[in-house]
Amino acid sequence: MAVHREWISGNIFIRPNQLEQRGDVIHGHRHHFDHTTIVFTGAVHVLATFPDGSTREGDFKAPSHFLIRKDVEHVITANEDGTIIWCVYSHRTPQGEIAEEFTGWDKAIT
Amino acid sequence: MAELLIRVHDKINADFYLNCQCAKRGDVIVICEDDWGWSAIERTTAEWRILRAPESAADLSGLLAPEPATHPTRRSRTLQRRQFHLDLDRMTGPLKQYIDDDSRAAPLFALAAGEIGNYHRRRPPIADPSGAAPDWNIF
Repeated sequence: MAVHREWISGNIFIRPNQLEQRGDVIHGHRHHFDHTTIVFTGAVHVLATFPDGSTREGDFKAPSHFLIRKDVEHVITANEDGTIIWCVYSHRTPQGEIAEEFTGWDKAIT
Repeated sequence: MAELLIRVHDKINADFYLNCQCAKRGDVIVICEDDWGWSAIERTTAEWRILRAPESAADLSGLLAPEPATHPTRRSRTLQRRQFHLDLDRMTGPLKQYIDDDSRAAPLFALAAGEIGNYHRRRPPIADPSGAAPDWNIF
């Protein structure tokens, strides 16, 4: 798996990831902020473990996207060769205020 | 300045999913320029009211936006006609009297600058009774 340098676009951070072969894995990890993952090419399987220990899984084939809320551990496995995903997130609101807090899905739309 | 045609009584459809798409109380139907030539029905029907706001139609255009889908290829069947509405239950005084008066004694009501922001609210999503997860792509 290739993790490319993080890009910044305005108040948005973009972290591209390339899962070159089917079965390539981004191992379980969590963040202190919500982020959206865009599946540009290929397909991924997501295993999410919530803070209460429960789990849920889903499959996403390009073009697609999914939201991982803060503190949700997630494992991403490529279902196809040549899978490219972008993780997109922001630590600030468009007004520049610090937003390292749980904002959910609804408040992302203003 | 702009004039807004708003619905004050829910439009109802017996089908659950079609009902989600019907205009509801507080939804803005259309926004027109000041001194718009509203039809007789638009000025008199109990279903609608007309509000005049100092803001421009462009500034208020967000009130016409439909509830957006969360995914490009899998749209919820419960998406609502409007993402935002005017919470008519928050209105008081002469404005509330105008809203509640189905006889439409007055054709329209003029709001103060910025007043519409007091009532501007986002509609919460509607859960699908079939059990289809609206948040299938949210973990």
